[in-house]
Amino acid sequence: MLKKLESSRLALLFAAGLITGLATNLRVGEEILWTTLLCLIFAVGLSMGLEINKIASMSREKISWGLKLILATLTGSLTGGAVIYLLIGEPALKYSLAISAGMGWYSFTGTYLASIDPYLGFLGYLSNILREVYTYITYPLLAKKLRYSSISLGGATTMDTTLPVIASVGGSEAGIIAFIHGAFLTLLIPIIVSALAST
Amino acid sequence: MEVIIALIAGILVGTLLGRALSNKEKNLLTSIVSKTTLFLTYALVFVIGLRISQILPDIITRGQQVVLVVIAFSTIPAVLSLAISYLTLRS
Repeated sequence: MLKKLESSRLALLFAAGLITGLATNLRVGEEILWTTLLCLIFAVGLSMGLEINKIASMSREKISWGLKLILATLTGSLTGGAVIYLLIGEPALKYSLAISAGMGWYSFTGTYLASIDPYLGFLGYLSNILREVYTYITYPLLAKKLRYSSISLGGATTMDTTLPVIASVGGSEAGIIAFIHGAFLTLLIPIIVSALAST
Repeated sequence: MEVIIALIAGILVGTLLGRALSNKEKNLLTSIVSKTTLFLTYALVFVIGLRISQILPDIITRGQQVVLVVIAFSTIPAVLSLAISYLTLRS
């Protein structure tokens, strides 16, 4: 879905937004931000609906591995958010959990949290984009020792941006499990993040 | 709530179109959706930058603390996910 995204291009766009905001004092209305975000979510849902047969045709064993990984990724990420809150004490627990529940989906988490508070958006965007970067760097090393467990590191990005790395290092079986893992997390993230942040 | 509705609506429309369209049409639609998603992601990343420019002085004032928080949020959840996955799959 987002295979063509490049970290450098994203960094440039992010910097361009920062510079434009500082130089021109340009502001984007809440409605425009929210509408764009909903369009993105709809487009992601649409692409998942189009690929639903692909997931249904996968073997039960791979689906079962993928589901176990999803549960582990979810538990680890939420526990991580709670640990950070206990260690640092900021932001509030519900936002700490929401940021860590982004699991690599920076465009959604960053935008959703920015609509609540720009500082939360900053944390949501940067920490989730870094998770993707860590996956690119460490997956080839970790996969040799930890095999399928290392797919967890990529969170939701394992169905698109980090899938090529996983499939090329771990083989096609790892690629299939990574796709299931990323697809289901992509489905869950909007529900979990919005539920956590709005409580 | 709107987020969940948009997601479910997208999945439903995608599933229905996936059944109704021929393979050629499906591939064309997948390619269009992929490009649209890419464009929307770029647009949102730019807008996030724009929004953050409003609080940049505040972030700079916080200095080291912000760096610490970002490092914590990017590493701790990822490392714990990895550890729990390893323990789950090993058993």
